[in-house]
Amino acid sequence: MRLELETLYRLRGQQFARLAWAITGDRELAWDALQDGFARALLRRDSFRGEGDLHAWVARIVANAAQDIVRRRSDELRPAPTETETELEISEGDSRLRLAVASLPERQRLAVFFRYYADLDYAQIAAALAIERGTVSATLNAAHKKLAALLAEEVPR
Amino acid sequence: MTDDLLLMVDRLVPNDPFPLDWHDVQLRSEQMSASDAIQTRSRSRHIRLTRRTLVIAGAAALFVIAPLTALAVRLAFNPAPTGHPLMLSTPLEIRLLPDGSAAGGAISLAIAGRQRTVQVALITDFQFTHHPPFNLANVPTPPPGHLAISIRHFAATGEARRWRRVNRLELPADIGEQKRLTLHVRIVREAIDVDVRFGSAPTPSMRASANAILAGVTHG
Repeated sequence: MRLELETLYRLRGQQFARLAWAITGDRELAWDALQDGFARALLRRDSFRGEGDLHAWVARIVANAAQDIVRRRSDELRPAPTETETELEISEGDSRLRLAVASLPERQRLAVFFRYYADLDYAQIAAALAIERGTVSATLNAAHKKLAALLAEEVPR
Repeated sequence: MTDDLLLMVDRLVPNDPFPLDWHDVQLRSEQMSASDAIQTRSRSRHIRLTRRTLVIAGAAALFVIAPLTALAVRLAFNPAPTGHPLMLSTPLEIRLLPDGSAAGGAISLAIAGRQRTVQVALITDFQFTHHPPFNLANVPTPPPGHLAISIRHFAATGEARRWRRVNRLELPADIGEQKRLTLHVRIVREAIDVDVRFGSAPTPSMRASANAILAGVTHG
């Protein structure tokens, strides 16, 4: 298992790092989240169920690590941040696109990140988000529609 | 997702390679393991302390709070707890009969030429009501077959110093059919003036009740 994790890290580390970057909105924090996520996976490798998908399991752990870092950073910056404030924190200084993505509901946002940065397929996203596979499709569709509407002016036609 | 949108989302996070370092991952994992162990030990200690606190709280509830609550409830519904000591804020403690009642108070009397505070109490083997402050002014007449005992006591002084010393109160051996009698005795430093009234000619049972009440009067 340790070897499998190391292999996954070496082969897909860049994708997981982009996933973390998308969540934290910061390259350095993303690297921290990647390292923390794999360290946690290594620590909890005994809890991984063999029949599950390792890629999806680790993606979820890295995403959690990234979200923890965002929360901690937000706590340090503000005494009592709300969820909206945390999301805005991620998008601070970025384009309208980042704001649009940040405004998605958490499940839709994570589904988009898992799909386009961690390169998970629908089954893996379902495992990572602990939802049905059919729900993944609906979630991504909803996210696409919402993003398209939000970015209508920005999408090149 | 449309290609345009996909491109935009892709643009959101630059495809800039990260320096991967598996050795750092392993080090972090070991640090987390040590930190988890400390937290687990701390949590275990916390759980042990919590359990101990719960046990102590449970014992306190069982042995202290429950009896006090029961006593409070009993006092609320029966101001004179039968069969339990009646504390009169005096050196004397009076234990009631199971079906009896009692009242206590204080009056001012001239004793040996000086005004002194005298503690008074009325104990009966029947239920009676009174209105505080109790001062022995309206002692109820006991119904036939019952009795009332009034007690006045004060720190022995003057003439009372010569009253007979006893360890406990009791009726004289032979009171015949007297329906009222008085006793003047001393217990420790207290001078006690006892007035026993029977509602009818005292029977052995009534005398036994009177002696039971008197035996319940002790020096605290």
